[in-house]
This record gives sequence, structure tokens and C-alpha cells, in this order.
Amino acid sequence: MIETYLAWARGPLFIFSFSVMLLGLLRLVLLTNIDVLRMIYRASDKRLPVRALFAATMRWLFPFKQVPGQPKNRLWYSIVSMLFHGGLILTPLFLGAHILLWKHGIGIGWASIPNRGEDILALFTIATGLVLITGRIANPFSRGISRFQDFFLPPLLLIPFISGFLVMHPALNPLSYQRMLLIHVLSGDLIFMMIPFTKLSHFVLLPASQLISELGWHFPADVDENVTSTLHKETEKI
Amino acid sequence: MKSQYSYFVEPFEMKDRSRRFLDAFAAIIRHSNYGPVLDAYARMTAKCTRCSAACPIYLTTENIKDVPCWRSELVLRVYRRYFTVPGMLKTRLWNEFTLTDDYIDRLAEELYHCTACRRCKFFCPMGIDHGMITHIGRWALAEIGIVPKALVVATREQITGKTHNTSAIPLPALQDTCEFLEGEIMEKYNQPVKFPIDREGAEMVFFPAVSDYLLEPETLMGNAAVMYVTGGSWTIGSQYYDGIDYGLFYSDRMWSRIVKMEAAEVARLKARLVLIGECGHASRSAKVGLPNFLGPGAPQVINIMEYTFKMLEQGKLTLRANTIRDRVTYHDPCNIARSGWIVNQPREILRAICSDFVDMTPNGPLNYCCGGGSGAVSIDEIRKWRTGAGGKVKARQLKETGAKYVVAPCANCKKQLREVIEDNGLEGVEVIGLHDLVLKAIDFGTPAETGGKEKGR
Repeated sequence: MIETYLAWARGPLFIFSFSVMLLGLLRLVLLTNIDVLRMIYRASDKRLPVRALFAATMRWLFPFKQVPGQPKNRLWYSIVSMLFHGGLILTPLFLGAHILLWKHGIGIGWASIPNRGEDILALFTIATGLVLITGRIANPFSRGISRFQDFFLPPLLLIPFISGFLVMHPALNPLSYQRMLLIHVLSGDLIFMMIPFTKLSHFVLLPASQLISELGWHFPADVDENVTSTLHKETEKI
Repeated sequence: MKSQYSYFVEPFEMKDRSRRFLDAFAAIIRHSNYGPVLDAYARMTAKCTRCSAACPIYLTTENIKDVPCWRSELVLRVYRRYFTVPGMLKTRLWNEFTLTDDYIDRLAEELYHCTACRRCKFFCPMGIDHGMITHIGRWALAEIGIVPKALVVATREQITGKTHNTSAIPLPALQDTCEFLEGEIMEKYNQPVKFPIDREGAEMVFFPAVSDYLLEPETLMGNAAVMYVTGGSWTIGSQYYDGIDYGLFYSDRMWSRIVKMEAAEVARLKARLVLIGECGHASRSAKVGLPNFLGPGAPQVINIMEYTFKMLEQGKLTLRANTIRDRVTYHDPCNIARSGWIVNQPREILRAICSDFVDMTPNGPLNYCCGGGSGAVSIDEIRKWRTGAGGKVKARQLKETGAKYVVAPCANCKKQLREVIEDNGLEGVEVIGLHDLVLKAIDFGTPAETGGKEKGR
């Protein structure tokens, strides 16, 4: 029975969810590019501080900005968050078992991190993830501005890491190998499907965010006339 | 006068606020470049609260409503619900958020608790410009009549009034003031410094914050003295002489109309450059607004501090070192410092004339807002909030420098800082303009040949 579920989750469901992710992200990237081009086309001042935008985009891949004299710099938050993100990306990408699956499936493989290193990475991801979740719940401001997905996604992201770690360490695994693997695969599938529709998509949108913010301040020349006529305010006094 | 908000508004149509707000919002998204921005922000906002550490208002109030991301969410929620497919789907599936008249009132209050200083933009890993969201939200509110009376009355006089300026100074009064200032300089420095009005063919047309003519004579005298000594080819336009542009604070439509008036005056006088006086928002609204609302043919914008610094660098302006012996500090107006446009120029000028110049920390593009940004300073009825929640961090910064003079080259910052100093019990600190000090330090020497000739720069 469980073999059937497992085969389904690793086979058709995985292909489906991974395709949803790829196509969804492709759509987002395309739409973003179209938006950027449209904004540039409409803006009458097309000069852009390209170098500064590039620098800002690169700098924000490492959000450690510290300002002397500022009461709260949130250095620890930045460090923990960076470690979490690093683990989140590197662990699944360079796990030997995952790469083997890719090799079997599509014939492409790449270098892996030894299992010992993977263990450390996974544990780091889980630990930093737990710290971030605790922080979000414990800090009244973080809690106050969080939406449902902000509470829901971080624990969901940790499930494949915890279950994956337990699958690799049968001595610690309270369930059977296959049950744990099923949890691992199903949660992974769910995450893939959610990526394009939640804030998780920020990893493909981030490269354009500084540019889009800048372009917001570049207006079409006739914005006054157009808004005025759309709202029928031609005769309205100021 | 009673108002349901903390600021006064003129009577407006109360019926159907939410529907009319959405109409306005839709028109703005359709005709401006803000739509894709809101779209990206609505998708990406991660709610990490990193921005809270950046906001001087939040640092003082520690109220969740002053976390920039919380405020932005007020607007983003409306965008998500009414302008995205998932938002519309969700509404059909279950009870999704609905825009009510009460919610509009909440927006009206909260969007005016942000000074749009845009400091938080530097702290958002997602690059979200919360100041822009405030800007967009305020514009949509203004279209349904919710805008502080202080701002709209001034703008009305500027665009449709007889005097065409926010302080309603008639031309004869302006001419009198200029003559008086010329007399003052003659008396104090024995120099025939002129305030040329309507000199056709001048290179630059001067637009200070018009309130300077009433409140900051020393600054204007400093401006004119620099022009005189360096042989600057400048003029004041008689038809339009106000740099203030409150459109930047509540409506791009007004912003556009006002910069077009500046451009028209420059064209009438056959000039080439818009010269902005010591004023932060006037500088930014012209620098960003002119090339956008007028297109590639728009006149270029130069701020008087840029000009003075350039002249100092080229050796055309001599300033006497150590003229000011008291401790001096410099407040960066957000609108010119945030982009890194004018940060070092005034400091170099100050270092040339002061023996004891100290900077606040943080400063430059990362400065703290004075608390009066985005028009707040003009709204007298919110002074308690402005100098309290808005100004406490600045007051502490000022105190830490131990400076006697705080140089604030911005009409809004000047008024606000004076009130911050008064309300926060900082005694003996004086707020002045940069050119007030330049005037004291200027070495008139043998006056350069001026006579209205074009001078290549």
C-alpha cells in the first residue's frame, strides 16, 4: 500500500508539482520582464542609475547592513536568516541521494556534498528555521504584521528537512523508512506547488525588485491629463 | 474646526468613499508606473520587520502601526483584493477582506503618520520602497477629497490663485523684499549685490521655497552674495517664483502641474537651468518631476548648494576659513540626501568655513528625518505628533553633537527643527541655513565682472 503512495508521490505527483513550480516561476519571470519593459517604454525619463541599482541588488543578497549609531541593527536576525536561506538552497541541491535521482531520471548529475556535510547543513537549516519561527511568534511586532502564510510556510519548509534527516539516520527514525520518506516527498511536492503562489517566489523576483522600485518614480508624461479625464475631473476645482 | 482625522480636511463627499477610492486607485494604476511596483511588492513582501529598526517614528513610539511594513500592508491589501486575480478568486471562495468607508478613514490617518522619508527602503531586503506606497495611497485619498487642508489650500493658491505661490506673496511685495535685502547687504557688507528680476537670457531661474522671502532673509542674502561674487547669471521670474511643490506629498497631478509652471517660467525667460534654493522637497520634485512630466526637453535642475560648491572648487568663490568658531552640525534633508545627490557638497562648504564641524550619526543617505517630511511640517494641528513621535530621535541626535548651530538647508526642515528644539527642551541650539553661514564667511574681494553677461560654466 505505502509503496503505491510512495511511487505516486515520487513519480506523477512530483512531476506535476515540479512542473507547476517551473511553469509558475517562468510565468512570473516573464510577466516581470514585460512589466519592466512596459515601465521603461512608458517612462519619459529613461535614464536609470544602472550601476547603483546593480550594486543595491547585489548588496541585498547579503542583508547585513549595519548602521553605527542606530539603536537596533538586528545583526543576529540577519545572520540567522542568511544561514537559514543558505541551508534551504544548498542542502537539497547538493545531496548525493537527490543528485542520483536526477541522474536516473534525466541523466544529468553534479558534484555532491558528502553526507556528513549534508547532515550539518540540514541541522543548521532546522535550527535556524526554528529560531526564526520562534522569533516571529515571540516578537509582538513580527507576530502582529504576519499573515497566515508567514506562519504557515516556515514550519512547512522544515518538514522535508526533518524527515529527510531522519530518513538518512534510521537509528533516530521513530517511523518506518518508507513512511518517513513519504512524508518527506509529499511535503516537498507541496512546497514546489506553493512556490509560485506565495512569498516563496521572492527568490526569482528579487533580482528585479530594486529596478522596479526605481522605475516606479519614472512617470509617463501625460499622467495628469489621463487620470484627470478618467476620473472626469476636468472642471473640478483643485 | 472639527475633523475626523488628526489633521483638518475641507468638507468632502462622504458617500461611497470606498467605491470612489477604488476608482481613483484604478485610474492611478492604469496611467502611472505604480501598478507593476504594487504587483511586485504584493507578491514579495516577506514581513521580516527589518524595516522597523530604520524608522525614527517607530523607534520613538514602538507602536506596531509605525512599522513601515505594517502601514504598507494597508495599501497592499487593497491592491491584492481588488487588482489581482488571486484576490478576486479568494473573494468568491470565502469571505475575503472588503474595503469599507471605515477602512478608508484608517488609511487616511495612518498614511499621514509616515513622513515618506524613505529611510526604510535601505533596510528592506526585498527592496520595497515604503515611502512610495505612502505616496500612492495619499494620491488616491486626495482624489476623493481627503487631503490635509494646509497642503491643498497652499497648492490651490499656487496653481489657480492670483499670486501663484504657496505663501500668497504678491509680486510688489516680492520686489520690495528683494530691494530691502539688497539694502541690507549694502549696509552690512558695502557690496552692490543684486536680486535680478526678469532678466531675460539669464542662465538660471531661481526658485527658492517662497516662504524664504518671508522667513529666511539671511539665506537669500547668502544665495545672492554667492551669485554676485561668482558672476552667476541668474534671475528671479516675476510670473512664477515658488519652488515649493506639495504635489510631491499628495498628488502626482498637482506635482506635474507645478513643475510645468517652473518650466514655463524658465522658457519665458529664455533660461537654461532651474536653480532651486535651500529646500529639500523643492529640489527633488524638480529633479525627478521635470524630466518625467516634460520629457527629454525639460530644463536641467541645479541646487544652490551644488552651485556654491562648484564655485568653491573652481576657486571662483573664496570663503574665509574659521569664520564660524562655534560648533556646527549638518542635518541632511531626506529629499536630497536619500539618493546621495547632495551629501558632501554642503559638508565641504562647512568644513571650509567652520573650525568645529561635527556630523551626526547616522548621516548622509542614512540620516534620520526631522519629523516634518512629506508636508507634515505645514500641518500645524499635528505639531505635538510631529515634534514628539516624529522629532524625538532627531532631538537626541542634535543633543549628542553638542552643536550650537544646526545647518538645515531646507525650508521645511528649518521650521520643523526649530519646533523640535522648542518642544524637546534643547536650549541654545540655533537652526540656520547653509548660506546664512556662507554669507558671513564670503570674501567679497574685488567683485567679479557681472553685468548680466552669460558666463560659461
